[in-house]
Amino acid sequence: VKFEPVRPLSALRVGDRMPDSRVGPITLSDIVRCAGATGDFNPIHHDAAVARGCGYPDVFSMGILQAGVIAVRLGRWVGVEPVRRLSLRFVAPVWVGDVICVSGKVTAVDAPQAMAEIGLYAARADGDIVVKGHASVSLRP
Amino acid sequence: MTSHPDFPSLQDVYFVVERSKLEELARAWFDRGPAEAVAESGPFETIPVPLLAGVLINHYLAGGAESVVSDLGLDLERSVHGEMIWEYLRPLPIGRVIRAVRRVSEVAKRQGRRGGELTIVTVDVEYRDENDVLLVVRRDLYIERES
Repeated sequence: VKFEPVRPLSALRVGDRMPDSRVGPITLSDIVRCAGATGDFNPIHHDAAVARGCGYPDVFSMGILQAGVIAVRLGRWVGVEPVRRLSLRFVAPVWVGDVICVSGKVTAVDAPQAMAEIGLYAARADGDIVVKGHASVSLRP
Repeated sequence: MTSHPDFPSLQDVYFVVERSKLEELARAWFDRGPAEAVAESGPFETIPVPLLAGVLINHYLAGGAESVVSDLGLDLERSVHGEMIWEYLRPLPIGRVIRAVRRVSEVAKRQGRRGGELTIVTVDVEYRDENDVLLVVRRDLYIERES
């Protein structure tokens, strides 16, 4: 990830956008790598027979894969330490072959409190959103 | 923390943020690893720990992440991880023992969009250092579809 970090953070304004980035197409190897890294070996994510048995058309990534992709990019943009709160809601699966497009935008700045609110999204290449997120970031130096 | 009375208490988890695990997380999240960060900005102990590094507690659960769902009495095949919320008070330290205190804080029912009832179980996790200082608070929502 090659992001130019925001400096200083106090320069953030409503409407400022986190640099867009894409990862993928997601492979089964990517999912298995994430399973190993995060300790999530629910077979629904890597065993197609199990996934189909649960009513899904195929395996899909664990939410922590796309959540981590978003969080890493947020950390690269504003830094890790300024982040006070991060919420991530998994609204749709990421399938093998999907490209994950990550974006973010400053939605509010509270100058007296030196806080910024950032809306975060991960979407498939066709625009369908898979994760909706929100971060509260301290702007204090 | 007090657990929901209808659910068994969850065991505390003791874990360490290790360099090799940070390398693995970086690869899983399509990021550069700690080695590159160290080369750029200094000693390993001082590099920023990823925001979601608290997931490493999964490695210290006997059954991995999937055991969280089964420990809650939810059916793994009908359950999904719906949401995670993290609040950061202090960074997770690298190389020191961290205690994760877990509890079920809420259980709710609601109708699903496609019919059928959904059970939503909220699990709170407090990450504390060896002096019991609160570092990070995490909330996970697990959703089980009706059978």
